[in-house]
Amino acid sequence: MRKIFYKIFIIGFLLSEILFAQNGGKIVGTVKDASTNDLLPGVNIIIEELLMGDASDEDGSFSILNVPPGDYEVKAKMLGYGTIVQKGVKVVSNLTTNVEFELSEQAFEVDEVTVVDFKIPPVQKDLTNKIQARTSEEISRIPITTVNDLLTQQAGIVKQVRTMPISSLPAFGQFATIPTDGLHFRGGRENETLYLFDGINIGDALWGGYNISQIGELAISSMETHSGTFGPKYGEAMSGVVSISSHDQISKTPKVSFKAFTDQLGMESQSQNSYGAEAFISASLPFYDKLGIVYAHRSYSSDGYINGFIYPEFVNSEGADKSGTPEKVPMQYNDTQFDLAKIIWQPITELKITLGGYLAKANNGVYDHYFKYNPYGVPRVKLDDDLAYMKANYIISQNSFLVLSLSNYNRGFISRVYENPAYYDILPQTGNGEFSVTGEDWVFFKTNFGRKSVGLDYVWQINKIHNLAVGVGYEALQTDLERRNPDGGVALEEYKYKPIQMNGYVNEKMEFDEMGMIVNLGARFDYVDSKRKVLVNLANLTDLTAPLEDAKAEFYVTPRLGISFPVAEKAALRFGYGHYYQFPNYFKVFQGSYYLASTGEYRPNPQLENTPIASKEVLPEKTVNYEFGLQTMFSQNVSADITGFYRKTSNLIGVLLSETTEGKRFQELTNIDYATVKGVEFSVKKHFTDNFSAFFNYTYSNTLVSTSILFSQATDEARTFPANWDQPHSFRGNIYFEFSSGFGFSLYGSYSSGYPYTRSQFDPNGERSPWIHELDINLFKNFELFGFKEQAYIQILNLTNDKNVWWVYADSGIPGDDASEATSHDYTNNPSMYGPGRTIQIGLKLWN
Amino acid sequence: MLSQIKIKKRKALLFFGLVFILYSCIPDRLPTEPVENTRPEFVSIELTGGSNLVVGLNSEIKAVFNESMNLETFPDNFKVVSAIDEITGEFTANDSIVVFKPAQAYSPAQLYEINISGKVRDVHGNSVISPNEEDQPQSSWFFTQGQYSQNGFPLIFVRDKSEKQVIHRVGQLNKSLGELSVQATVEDYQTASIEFSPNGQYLYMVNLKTVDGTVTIIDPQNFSVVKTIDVGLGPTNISFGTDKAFVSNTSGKSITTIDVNSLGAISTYEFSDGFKPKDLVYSPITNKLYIYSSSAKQIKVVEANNFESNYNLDEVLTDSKGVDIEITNDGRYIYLIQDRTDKIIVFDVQTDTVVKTIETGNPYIIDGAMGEKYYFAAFFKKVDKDLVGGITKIDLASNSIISTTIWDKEIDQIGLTNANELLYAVIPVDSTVSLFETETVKEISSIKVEGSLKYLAVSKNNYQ
Repeated sequence: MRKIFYKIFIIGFLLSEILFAQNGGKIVGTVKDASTNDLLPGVNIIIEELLMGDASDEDGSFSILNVPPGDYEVKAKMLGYGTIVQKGVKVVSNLTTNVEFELSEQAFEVDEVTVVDFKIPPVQKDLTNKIQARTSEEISRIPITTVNDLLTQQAGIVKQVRTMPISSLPAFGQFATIPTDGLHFRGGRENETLYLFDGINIGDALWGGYNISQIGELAISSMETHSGTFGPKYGEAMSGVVSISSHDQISKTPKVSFKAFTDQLGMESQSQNSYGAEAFISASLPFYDKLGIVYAHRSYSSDGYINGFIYPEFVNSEGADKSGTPEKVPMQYNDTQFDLAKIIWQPITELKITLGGYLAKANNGVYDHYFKYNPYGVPRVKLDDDLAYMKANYIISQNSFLVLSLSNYNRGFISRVYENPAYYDILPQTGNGEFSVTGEDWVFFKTNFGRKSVGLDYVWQINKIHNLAVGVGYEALQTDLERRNPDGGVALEEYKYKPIQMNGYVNEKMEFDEMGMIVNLGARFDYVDSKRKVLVNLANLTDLTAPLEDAKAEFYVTPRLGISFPVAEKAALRFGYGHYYQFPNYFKVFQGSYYLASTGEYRPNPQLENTPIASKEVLPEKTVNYEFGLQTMFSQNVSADITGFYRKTSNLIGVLLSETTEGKRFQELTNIDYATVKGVEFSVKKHFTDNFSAFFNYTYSNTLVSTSILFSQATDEARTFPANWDQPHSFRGNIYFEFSSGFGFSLYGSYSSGYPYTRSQFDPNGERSPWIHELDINLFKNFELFGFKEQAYIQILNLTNDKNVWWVYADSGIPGDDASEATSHDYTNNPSMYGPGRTIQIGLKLWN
Repeated sequence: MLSQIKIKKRKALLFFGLVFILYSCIPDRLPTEPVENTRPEFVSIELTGGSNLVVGLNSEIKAVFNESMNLETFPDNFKVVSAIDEITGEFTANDSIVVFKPAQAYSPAQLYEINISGKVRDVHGNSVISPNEEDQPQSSWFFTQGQYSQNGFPLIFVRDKSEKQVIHRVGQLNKSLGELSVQATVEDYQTASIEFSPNGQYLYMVNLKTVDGTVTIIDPQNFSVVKTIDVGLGPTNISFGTDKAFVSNTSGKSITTIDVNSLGAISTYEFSDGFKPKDLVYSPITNKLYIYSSSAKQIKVVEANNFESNYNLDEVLTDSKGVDIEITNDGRYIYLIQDRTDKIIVFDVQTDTVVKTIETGNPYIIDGAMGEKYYFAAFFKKVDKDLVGGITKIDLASNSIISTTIWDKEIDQIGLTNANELLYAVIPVDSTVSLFETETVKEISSIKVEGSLKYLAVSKNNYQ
């Protein structure tokens, strides 16, 4: 009786944990008697860290659903048998981890515990699209400064490089500072990725993307990147999904972590004046252990490696005198603050409610070479975002659960030189022929994006084969934009639209155990109503009385299919196929709109000279993804994956030249561009055993686009050329050693093709900049003091202090000097053409 | 043991907490309100009392700009300099006015140049001119108080060439104080010189007529005729001994001696050799008169008491006859100007020899004025088709030229104030009297005097 009660209690309690976890993976397996090989029922399988578990059923199998991503110790315990703990069981969201136990009989009174390393399964059987996952432990093993570095170290993800040609005018452009994620996934444009934080969409639908680098390393329990044919649960993304999970458990024993680092070591040439601090705490209330709190904070500041200079007499000499000791002004700085707080409440076993949210702010400088000696003349970017959400998990039955989520996300963006518009009038725009002397770039950009969303997910494990997941979501968006010319305060663009988006999905996961085949079959629908007004005939652009009508709402259905099939004991093939639609970022959809006070309407602004006007009908951009993969295991701890992919993208937003009825030409933003991407990714991973781990990635990709730049002149639609971000070859690898003495190191290196550039207009992007390489090292010593674990480390980024070339001049083919003899070296030697030099950081971590 | 571990944990948390706080702030990167970069403009330089002349020895100077200035930029860029010194001081500001207060008194009777460099800056760091451009300092000047301004000012008398009976009077430095028409039975035929007696009591006006001439004694303060004394035929110049005045009667070929105490003619000595005296000086060292002829390159030396032992010096004037003669205050050296030449002959009365012939390089020297340390010679010359004037300043100790000031107008007669601080010059072409300070020979003022101006005399004393 006691045994039954205990089992019921364990099952009930642990199931609640299973079902309330979010973005979870699944742990399944069987328990056998080691001597007889009989399947053992009634064995308690427990993840003590999460207080989750199951009891094996009559055929000795167990299943723990919805386990938060991460590395865990899984314990199998049964009276009369020795307890076994498997450590290092890695759980990835939406995937199944197999854990097999063999228990040995023991004397009744003996309570022997055997700890063994988890044996990585030869293949991840249900992997139907490529997922690159990093747990918090793995993250701590790689030298990074921001979380963004984690992404760019993965296969198929390329960092965006901004090319800022020299200019003798402050024609910096209003759009040069707009927010972006700055990443290209599998050859896609930037901002084609969905960003999830604890399962909540935190992407900025106005501008696209998300500033992932602001999130603290300590706040993350896992980060997963889906760069291929991801399932129908994820929409409004064509290239990838980045899912970040924060710690989401009630810690009965308080957990504390600190991390601080700096490169302010008195070596100016090896420093970017960077520092950062992180703190994390997770605990349950001492008097009420059903309520836990999580708090994490991160501050980070870096001057960057590109500075402007203010010479004492430069302004007074009207730009002639560059003598004396200049004041150094960081122009590519990056400062962020991130505060996360969560309350996890489990009042009853069937219900768990999580209230969470964060406040984040980021201040960024963007280097403009024209303002090198007038560094306060460039616009500065301020990004504030906050998220508040509630997730309620409710167990309907043992095999099904419901997740309800409510969220409110806001993101404000300001790009300006001064907060006070009157300041723009104080100084005239003057230059000395090459550089700005006084005045500022006339940029005053202010936007606010808001998303109020509600979502409902239902998961039903119908039987051992069929798992059905369905979900619906509703999002009420707010897109406020104000773009002014500070010189006179004229509004170039101004609107407050409130689009509505709805979505739903259904996914059937079929696990044919006998064949070992896994099939994911699903579909997704999206409905988007931009709620904007459009001209009945855009050719009547200049007629301010021309009639308007509501823009047409868009509805689209996208099928997804993923199959995994074992071809050997230690190898599995997979195939993925899917259609992926993404409605363009709203700043494109509403491009050119302003508020006409005389009619009280938002309508296209005919006065815009260099800004395209959004077409009457803007369609979603579309990508068809194909993926073939093979995963295999060379040895118990070395696995490999090779993936071939092909992507065909159409309806990309581009610029078309149009005419008004009076014959005035204007640029029209419409779905005219397209792209194709094909490539191969090869990954080898050595799991952490025998004191070391390692990974190696190679990516070959070929991205052909009909245009690389959104706001360019209209291009020849009939031809494609390599995208600006196309890097055909990319090698990346890491090796991590941790010795029993506590000393260790982590070495990360990459070697990638240079970015393309255009030497001849007849061969766009036909030339390549030099290869780019990177070598970072982290040397550390782990120790224990005062009852805590500590780590002291030295991290050296760009160990060899190589000067990487980001971009070159089209006419000379080299950085630093163009082919013109009329330009000075100072003028052409734009420091943003190069990557950063060596920086040396020291840091300290503490955790329990 | 357990409690010790807890204490250690607390300390560790405290340590990391402090580190965390240290690094958990991010900097403010926004620029502050931009600072205007408009260059300040110089408006004016103002002196106490509003005049550049007779400036007090501790007067403040106000430099007026159109915006507030950075005082720290002034000490290096605000100069108050005379020929003999540079004055430093303190700067204070009153809005856009920068006030210079001298740290030490100015030197008396000195012309000070005020130079404000374009490098001075406003409170926002903007200089008046770009530092990479050529400096264009703002300048002004002032002339300090001196003996010339104690208890009034000297009076300047100028004879009219057309209205020959008229003497114009200038006073209070640069003001015309009217004219005096000297009544005469026979009007003057030609204008002759006027001179002050050494004690400065009276102005002696030589009247050249078609008949015997006269000398009119004028009270300078009352500007009235005290007496008229008959002299010989054709008097042109007058010179003074210890208590006598000597009038050269050119046409009469004689010298008339006047008792300056009784203001009566003592005698007239006629040269038997036909020597026609034009101008003369008296040397107390030799007690002799030195006279040059109006018709010959000849100097005659005579005993001042009795005109005996006279002799001629035929080798002194080499090129032409004389045009002006002055003697140093100690009576040792005579400075003799040769007509229509650039030469000034320096003659030692003790040795009766020419010490030096100073070649000024400027022809047509027409008048000289003897000071304590310097001799000033007025000249004119032709530049292109125009006549320009000038003043050459000669150091008496070395007989070397100190400076030559070229003037755009022809200068005629010149005269020094008693302390040699100022030099007045007649500018006939525009009927003005110009006032020069003698250190740098810079014109500091001019006075329009209606008439046709010729001879000039400067009083020895000052008058209210």
